[in-house]
Amino acid sequence: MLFNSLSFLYLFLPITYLVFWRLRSKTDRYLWLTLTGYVFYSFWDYRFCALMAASTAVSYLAGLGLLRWDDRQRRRLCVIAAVTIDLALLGFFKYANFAMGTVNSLAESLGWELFLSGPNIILPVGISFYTFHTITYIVDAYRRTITPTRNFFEYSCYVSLFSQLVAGPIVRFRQIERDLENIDHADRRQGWAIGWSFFALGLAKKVLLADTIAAVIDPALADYGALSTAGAWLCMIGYAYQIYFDFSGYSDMAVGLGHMFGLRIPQNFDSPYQATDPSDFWRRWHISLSTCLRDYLYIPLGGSRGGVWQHYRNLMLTMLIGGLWHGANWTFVVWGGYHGLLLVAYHMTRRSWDALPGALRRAAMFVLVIAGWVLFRSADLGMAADLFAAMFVWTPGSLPTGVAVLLPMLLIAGAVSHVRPNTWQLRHQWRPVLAVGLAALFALSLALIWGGQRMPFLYFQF
Amino acid sequence: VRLATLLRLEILAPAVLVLAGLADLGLRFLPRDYFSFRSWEALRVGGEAGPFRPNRRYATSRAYGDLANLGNLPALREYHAQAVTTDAWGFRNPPALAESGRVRVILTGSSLTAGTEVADSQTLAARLSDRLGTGVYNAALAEPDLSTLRGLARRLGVARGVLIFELLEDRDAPGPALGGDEPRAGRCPRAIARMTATCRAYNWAVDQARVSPLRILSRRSLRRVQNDRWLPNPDRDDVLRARLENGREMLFQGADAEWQPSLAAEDRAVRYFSWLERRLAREGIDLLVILAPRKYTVYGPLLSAAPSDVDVGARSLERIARRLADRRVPVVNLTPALRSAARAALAQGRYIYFRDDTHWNADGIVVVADAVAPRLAELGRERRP
Repeated sequence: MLFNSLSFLYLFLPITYLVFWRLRSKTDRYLWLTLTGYVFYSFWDYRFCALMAASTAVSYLAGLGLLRWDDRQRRRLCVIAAVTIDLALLGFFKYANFAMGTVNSLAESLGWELFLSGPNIILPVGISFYTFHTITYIVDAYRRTITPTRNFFEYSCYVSLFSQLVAGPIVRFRQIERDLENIDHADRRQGWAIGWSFFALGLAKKVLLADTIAAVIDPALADYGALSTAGAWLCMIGYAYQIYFDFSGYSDMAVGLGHMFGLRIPQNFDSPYQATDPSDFWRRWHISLSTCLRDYLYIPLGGSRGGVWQHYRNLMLTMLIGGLWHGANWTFVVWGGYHGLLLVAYHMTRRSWDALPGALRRAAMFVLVIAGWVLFRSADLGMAADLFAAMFVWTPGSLPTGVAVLLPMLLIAGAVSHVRPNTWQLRHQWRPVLAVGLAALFALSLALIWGGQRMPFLYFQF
Repeated sequence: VRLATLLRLEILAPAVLVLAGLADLGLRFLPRDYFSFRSWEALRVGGEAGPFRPNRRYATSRAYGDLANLGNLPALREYHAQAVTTDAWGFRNPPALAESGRVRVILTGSSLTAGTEVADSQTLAARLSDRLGTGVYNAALAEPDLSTLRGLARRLGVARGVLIFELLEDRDAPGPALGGDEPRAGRCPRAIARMTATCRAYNWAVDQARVSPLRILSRRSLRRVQNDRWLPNPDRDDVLRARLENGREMLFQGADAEWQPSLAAEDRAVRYFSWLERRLAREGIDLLVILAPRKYTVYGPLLSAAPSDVDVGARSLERIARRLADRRVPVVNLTPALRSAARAALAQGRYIYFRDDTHWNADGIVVVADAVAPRLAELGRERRP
C-alpha cells in the first residue's frame, strides 16, 4: 500500500486514525498500531509478516537479556546473537542472489565450470529499514544509551509502525521512546494540524514534482542509448530532483502521519542540494541513514581517530557499505565508493575547497552529486558508462518527449530545493491565503492519484 | 464560525479528501453512459470474462476504437455510431431471443464474437441467424468452461444443436479439462456464489464499486496531457502504428509484431477442443471451432513495410486446424477468407477491421459469416440422418 493510493487515503488512514483515538490505554494503542503495521505490510506480501515478527521477537528478547544481565560476556552474547540473526536475514533475502550472480560471473570470466543456483529469493519490502531499527535498538541497549523496554507491544509498535515501516526514516528507539511512553497523553489537535501540513506538503512534493518529472525522464532513460548530451543532462538533473522530492516527500508524509498519532519522527532531509561540500551533503541527505552509518559503523571503525590513512579507510569502508545497503547491485557499491572518494578528496583539499565562494561550492557539489546519481540510477555499470558518455562527450540529438513540462518542473524543483526553506524550517502555521493555495496543491495531487498516476516510492526497493 | 478558522490547512486538506470521495460516490448514481466512450466501458461488469450488465441498451454516435484511445491519438479516431442491447442474462441478444425457443446455435468466444464496435444487427450471431433462418444466441464473453456452456444450453433449451467456439489466435484455450472433468469449486464458494447471484442489492453494490466515475474523469483529464507532446503517453508501447500499402495508417496492438505462437499452447488447444467435442456430443450438441486470426496476421502482408515473417500466426492456426480436423473436430480457420477479403477491400479503399481498433468491422463480420455458415449447414446435414 502506498501513501499516495486511494486505499490508503480512504480506508487505511481513516480507520487507523479513528480507532486509535477511540482507544485510551497505552497497551491498546501499541496493539492497534502494531496490528495496523502488519496489515499495512501485508498488502505487499503477507508471508513476510512472519519474517518481521521473527526479527522483532529476536531483538526484543535480546533487549530483555541486556536488561537482565550485567556481566559483559552475556551482554556480548545477546548483542552478537541478535545482530547476527538480523544481518543473516538481511544478507539472505537481500544479497544471496547478488552474491551467487557475482560468483557465477567471476567463474565464467575465469573459465571455471561453476554455476551456483538457489531458490528465487524475493526481497521483502522494507527489510533494510526494519532490520536497521532492530539492530540500532540492540546496539543502543548494549551501549546503555537506552533502557530496553519490557513491554513487547511497545517494542513491536516501534518496529512495525506503518508510517516508517517500509522506507524509513530509520528511527532509533531513543528518538521516539518518549513519545511511545506518552502515547496515551498525546495531543490530538496539535498533531492533527502539524501532521496534515507535513503530509500535504509531502504528497505534493511526491505527486506533483517527483512523479511529473519521472513521467518525462523515465521513458527517456529507458532508451538511454538514444539520448543526446542535452537530453542526458536534463534527465540526470531531473533524476536528482525526482529522487530528492520522492524520498523527502515520503519522509514528510511519514513525519506528518507520525504527528497524527502523537509520534515525532525525526528529520530525514535538510536541503541537501544546498550543501557546500561532501561532508555537508551527508549531514543533510537521508540523515537517519547517514547518522546510523556514522554511529554504528564509522565511529566503531575508528572514525577520524588514528592516522590520516586510517581515517580515509574508515570513510571509504563506511560509504561502500552504505552503498551496498541501498541495493544488491554493483552500481550501488560504486556509488558508495564514489561518495567515499569525494569525502576523502574533500578532507585532503579542505582548506582550498572551503576558501572558494559559497555559491561556487554549492554548484560544484550539486554537479558532483548528479554524477553520483548516474551510478545510482543505472541498472548496470554499462548503462552508467553510456550515460556518462552521453553527458560528457558531445552527442547531438533530440530532447526527451515532454521537455516543455520538464523544464518548468526543474525550475520549480530547483527553486524549492536550492533556495527555499525545507519543510522542517517552516512554522506550519499558514495564513488563510497560503492554506487555500496548499489545499489546492493537495487537491491537484489527489486528482492525479484519482487519475491513476501512482508511482511507487523510489526507496521502497531498498 | 469565522471564515479564517475554516481556512486552515488541517481543515481544508481533509475536506478536499472527503469531498472528492463524496463526489465519486454521488457520480456512481448517474448512468455510466456519461463516462463512457463506447459500449464496452458502459456495459462491462468487470473482470476479463463474464456477461455484460443485463437488460441494458447503450447508444452513442461518437464511439471510437480502443487503440486510438490507448495510443492517445485523437487524429486517428474513427467515430462511428454504436448501439448495444443486452438481454436478461447480460449477453448481447434481442431481449426475447432467449425465451423464444428458436435457439439452435450458441456462439461463444472473444470480444470479436461479442461484436465490439458494431451495431446489434451486425454481430456475427445476427449475421448467422439471417443466413440460417434459425436462432443464434450470442454468448460471447461467457466463462467458456463446460459447466457454463452446459448451463447455457439447458437454459436456452438447446437439446440438439451446435456450439460455435471462436478461439482468437493469441488466446490460450480454456483449461484445464485435459481428459478429465473440470475441478469443481468448493462447497463454500459455490454456496456464496449462489447466494450472491440472487441478491440484487449485492450485485448492484459490487457493480458500482468496480467503476469509479471520478477516476475515469481524472484519468481522461490526465490523458489530455499524456499526448506525447506535453507528457509521454505511458501506454504508447501498447499501440503499434503501421502504414498500409495504400499509405494510410492502421493501428495494431504493441506486442503484435513480436508475438510468437507457442507449440505448447497449440497442443493445449487441440487437446481441449477434442475433449470438449466428445463431452458435448454426449449431450447431443455439436462443436464447431472457429479460429480467428489477429488483425496483424490479416493485415501483415498488406503493410508497406511488411514484417519479415508475415505468416507466423497463420501457420500456427493452420496447424491447429489440421490437427483438429484429423481428430474429426469440425473447424473453420478464418485466416484465408479474411486475408483475401482484406486485400480485395484495400484495393477499393475499404477495410474489414476498424483502423483504430483490434476488432473486425461490419464488413469483416460478413466475411466471417460467409465462411462459417456453409460449415454450419454441413453440420446440420450430417446430423439429419
